[in-house]
Amino acid sequence: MTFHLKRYLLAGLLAFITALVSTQVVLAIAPDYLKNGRTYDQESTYIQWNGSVSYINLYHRDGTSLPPSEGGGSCGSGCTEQVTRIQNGSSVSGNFTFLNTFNVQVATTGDGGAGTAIIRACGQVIASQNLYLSGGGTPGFNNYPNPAWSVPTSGDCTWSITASGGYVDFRAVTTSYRSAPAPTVDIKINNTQGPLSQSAPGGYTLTWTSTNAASCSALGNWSGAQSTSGTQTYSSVASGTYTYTLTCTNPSGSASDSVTAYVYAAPTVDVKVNNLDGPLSLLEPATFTATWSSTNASTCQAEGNLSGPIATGGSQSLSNVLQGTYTYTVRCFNPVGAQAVDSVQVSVKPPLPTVDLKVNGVDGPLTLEATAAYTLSWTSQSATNCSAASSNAGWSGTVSLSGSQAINNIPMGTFTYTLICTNVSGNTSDTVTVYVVAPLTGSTSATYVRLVWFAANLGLPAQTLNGMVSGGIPPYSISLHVRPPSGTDVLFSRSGSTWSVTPTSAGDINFGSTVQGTWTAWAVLTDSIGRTYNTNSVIWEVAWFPVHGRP
Amino acid sequence: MSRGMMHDKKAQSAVWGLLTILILLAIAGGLVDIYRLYTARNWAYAVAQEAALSGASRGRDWNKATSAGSVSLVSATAQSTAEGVVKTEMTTRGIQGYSLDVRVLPDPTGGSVPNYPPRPVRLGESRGYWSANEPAVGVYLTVPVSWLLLDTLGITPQSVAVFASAGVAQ
Repeated sequence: MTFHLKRYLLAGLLAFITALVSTQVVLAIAPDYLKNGRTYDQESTYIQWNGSVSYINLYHRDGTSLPPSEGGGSCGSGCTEQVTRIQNGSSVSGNFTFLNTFNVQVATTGDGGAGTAIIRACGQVIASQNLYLSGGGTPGFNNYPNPAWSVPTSGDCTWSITASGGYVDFRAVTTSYRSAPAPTVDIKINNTQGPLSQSAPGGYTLTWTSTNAASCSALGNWSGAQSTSGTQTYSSVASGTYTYTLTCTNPSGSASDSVTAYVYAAPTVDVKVNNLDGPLSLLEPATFTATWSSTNASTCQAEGNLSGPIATGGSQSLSNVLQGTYTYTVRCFNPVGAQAVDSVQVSVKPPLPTVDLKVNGVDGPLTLEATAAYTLSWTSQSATNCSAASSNAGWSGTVSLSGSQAINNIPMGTFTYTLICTNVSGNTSDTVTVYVVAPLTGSTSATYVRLVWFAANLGLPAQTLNGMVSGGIPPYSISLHVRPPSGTDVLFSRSGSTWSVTPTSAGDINFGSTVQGTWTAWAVLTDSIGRTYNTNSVIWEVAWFPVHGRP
Repeated sequence: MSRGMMHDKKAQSAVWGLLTILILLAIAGGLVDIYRLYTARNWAYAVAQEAALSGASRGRDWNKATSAGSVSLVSATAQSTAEGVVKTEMTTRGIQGYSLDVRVLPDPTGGSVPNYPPRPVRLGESRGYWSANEPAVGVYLTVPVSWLLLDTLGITPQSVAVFASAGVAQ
């Protein structure tokens, strides 16, 4: 109801505007249509001068009276009046419509300068009057033609007075309107008063009739002069509101009528689930949001698994949705019943399986020394089947949903074991890695097995200790123990698979030669997982060779 | 007692006194020469011993000691060092006419040198067969000595010979 009330108010407002504009259109003609009755030459809005035309004060004696603007006195005994003098070859002209009779007042005179007044109306010469009267004396105005010319049409015409062969003095135009009531007009759209509602592209026919109309003009979504009755067909009309107003006029008044066409675009609707058009596949228990939006729709309804009255746009949140296939549909309509529908399908599947694979009871990675032996164990949930794969093909193929597998005699290398469990929703895998490494080992060596006491002071080399590490898992850390003859260990820390302790790196140029006697050194090797190994010990002798006198 | 007898006795006493003085002077000169000989011998021995020690010390072959664990001597180094020491000392004292015989036993186990030193000398182990059980340097030095008195007595030795050696303990 509110919608229709608004439309009628809008139509009324348009009609008012149309009437206002139509009046302006009727009055827009220049010069104005002649009035009913006497129009004096001083009323310039009704008369147009063409060429050499001017006002003059003319003394005339005749049966006329001065116009009210000049006092209205009788000119029977003569009077002076401002009149229009049309020089030879010039003219005055104007418009009229819906006239019954028409004539003008021009002055005859005994002045030999006067010429012939050629009076035209509706495209024809209705009078041609030589205004010079030999011995005529004082000018006097008379009506020409006389009797007044009967206008043959109620429609628009132009009139003019042209001076030929001399000047013409002109003072007034006299008309009489046709006797008729104000016009009526009736415009229909598809033979109804409207408003008309259609879906785009629209198509309709305007039909109008009028009575007593002198002319009709179109406003609104059409324009220009129209016949007083007719039809107009429109097709492929885009969406929108179209108002067609026809204003018909005659000198007694005007009448307007309007029709309105509402052309509605086809509605659209878009449904999404989790902002996707779907179809979607979700896992149980699913939580998602269905949203919809529409254009050009006045109403929407929920269908399928979407429930309740819904607006033309909105959303519904759904949670804890169990396994199944769900369709969420929204159907939207525009005001003329055109509809659009969109759906999103959501499949809710069981949850993905879970799988847990361990080696020797841990998730790994696990590092073992060659030759290794270990046990794979696994469990799964919600799985329908499981399959195994390994980097060395030692464990592969279909396996039970839970179980264990002993793996033996594995040489050095890196081995991965993957368990893939599947159900209808997909698959899940778990992988463990086993690093089988060589045993941690290494050695320590001394560059010199004998050194001279404080050798560097004699320019002789001090001790340099070297070592290497292999196996285990790098990186390695080395703790070198150097034990002088005094028995107190000195520790040096090193890293890497090869290492050395030189006098320079030890900070002692006499490294390993500062005390006479037997020195011992060995290294404690540690790999990255804390495995340790004690290398061999190396010994070297530090001696001094004294000189003594012999008897 | 008569004056003549007194005069004779005085003359005899003077003769005896003179003789006594001469005897005493001869004894003193002999003692001085003996002392000179003794001093020269000790000095020569000290020089020889210093030369032997220096040669043994400087001649130690450290590289072999490091590589083999036992020290030996570099013969040329040991010998030149010992000779250098003697030459320096002789030059300092202005002594000429000395003779020097340096021998080196470079091996870690020493060795022996036949006919060396050429004659018995004090502090030498033996004559003509110098041996050592370790690397060693032997210095045999003969230094001339000038007599003050003994040469007038027909005693002709005018030089001292000494021998010293040094070894490297293993």
